[in-house]
Amino acid sequence: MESEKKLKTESGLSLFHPWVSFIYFAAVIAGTLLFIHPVFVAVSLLCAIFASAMINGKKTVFATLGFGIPMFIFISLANPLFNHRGATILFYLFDNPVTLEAIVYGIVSAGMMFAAIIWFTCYNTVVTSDKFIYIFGRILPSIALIVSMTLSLIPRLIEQVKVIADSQRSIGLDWKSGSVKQRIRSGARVLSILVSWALEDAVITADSMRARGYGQHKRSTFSIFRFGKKDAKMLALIIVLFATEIFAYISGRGTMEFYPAMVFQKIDFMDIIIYFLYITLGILPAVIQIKEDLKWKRLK
Amino acid sequence: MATGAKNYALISFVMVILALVPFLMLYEMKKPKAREWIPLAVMAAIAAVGRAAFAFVPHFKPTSAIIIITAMVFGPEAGFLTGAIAALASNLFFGQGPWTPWQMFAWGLIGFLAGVLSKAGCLKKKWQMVVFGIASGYIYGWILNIWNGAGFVYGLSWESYLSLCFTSLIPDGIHSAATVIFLLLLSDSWGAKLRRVKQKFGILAS
Repeated sequence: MESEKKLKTESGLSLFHPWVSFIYFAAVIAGTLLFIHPVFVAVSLLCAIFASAMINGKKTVFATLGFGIPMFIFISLANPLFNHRGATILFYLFDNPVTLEAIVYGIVSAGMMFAAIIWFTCYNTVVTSDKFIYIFGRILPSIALIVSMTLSLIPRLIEQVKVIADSQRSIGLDWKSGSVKQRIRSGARVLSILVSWALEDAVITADSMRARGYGQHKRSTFSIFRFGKKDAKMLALIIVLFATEIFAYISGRGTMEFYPAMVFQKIDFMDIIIYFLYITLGILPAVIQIKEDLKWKRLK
Repeated sequence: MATGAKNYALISFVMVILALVPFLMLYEMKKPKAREWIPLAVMAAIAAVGRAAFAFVPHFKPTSAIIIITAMVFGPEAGFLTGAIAALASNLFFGQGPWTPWQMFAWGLIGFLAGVLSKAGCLKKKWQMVVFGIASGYIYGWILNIWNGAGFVYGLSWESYLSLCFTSLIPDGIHSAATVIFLLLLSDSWGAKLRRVKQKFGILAS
């Protein structure tokens, strides 16, 4: 299972340049938040679930759905309770009108949030922290450096806590034994030693960085990412698909009137094309993954 | 564009990212020396670990208190940075989401305010710290409620926003209580340690 998971993070969309996968998720999440329209929301939600099954595996999808569906219901119900706009009043709850429009809007916006959250779970698997730092290292180098330092410190701090706790135990100050008061005191001691250690260590790191010429020149980053032909093609496809969606939005096709009454516009040929392009954008990661799996099977 | 539902979710998402930019650019343009920012990375890491360590108690976390203590020693800009980075770094473990920039901004703002108040000499006494600790839980909650409202409720009105804040009174209260408890427990000893490092290694406050 573990090796399978590793395989997934190193295949499909993950094999593209960080910029490609980052822009893909930016486009697809922006699209999800942009189009408050039943068709678009449904497409995005289904594509997100499909992509997540391919990227994160079925087990994770079920876990996401397990917490997502109650949230979906909760949000769908929250809107009509907080919001009393709309012409079609269904019934009164605590003297407040509950309208059909508010219920439908609640379901659509809950679907939108649900889709965005599932897209983010895919993002978390594909755009790992080293890729994130790679991307922002160009735009905000100092911030990216401090974030990468913080990230590398977290496992080191956890490791050091164990070392300190062990040495404290050897001198009889074990935080796992004794009365509650003693335990708290020993625990606080461990934390306080940790802070002193971490701060001293940090300043030594800073001095050693200075000694090696930090801040003298533009900082270069180690990265094994290369922007190839394959990346350029994929990026172009993503940008074209996203641009058409933006065009669709500006021409008023991606939104719908909810209040005071819902207006269902007639679906014309242009709409069908736009839906088709939106589906194409949504299923890209799954298609890439399936294509690779097939190739892998054929070569095996 | 005038027709149809307005995208409060997207608009507010873009707004909060724009709100983060000036703070981050301010720091970026200062060309900080390693000595000045590395202690902040340490405190952000400790705040992130603290958030993970207490994740089993809902809303109870030492993160805000650690950010406030750091800001009290290193000043408002450092406080903002520590808060924003603690949120970003801890979400790399908790999972990023549309809430990440909101948490970055909320914790950043708490750090910034703590730095400003401390500079003005308003956080010297214990009771002042308690008041600010209580306020910080609600500042955090109310900022995140903008996101909750924009994402989930059509047409973020004052009415719906206030009712959201009303429903989150208790979770925010738990966060406030945790912040006050950790401030009272840690502010003296950790504050002293931070001041010592600042003095010993000559790190200038911004």
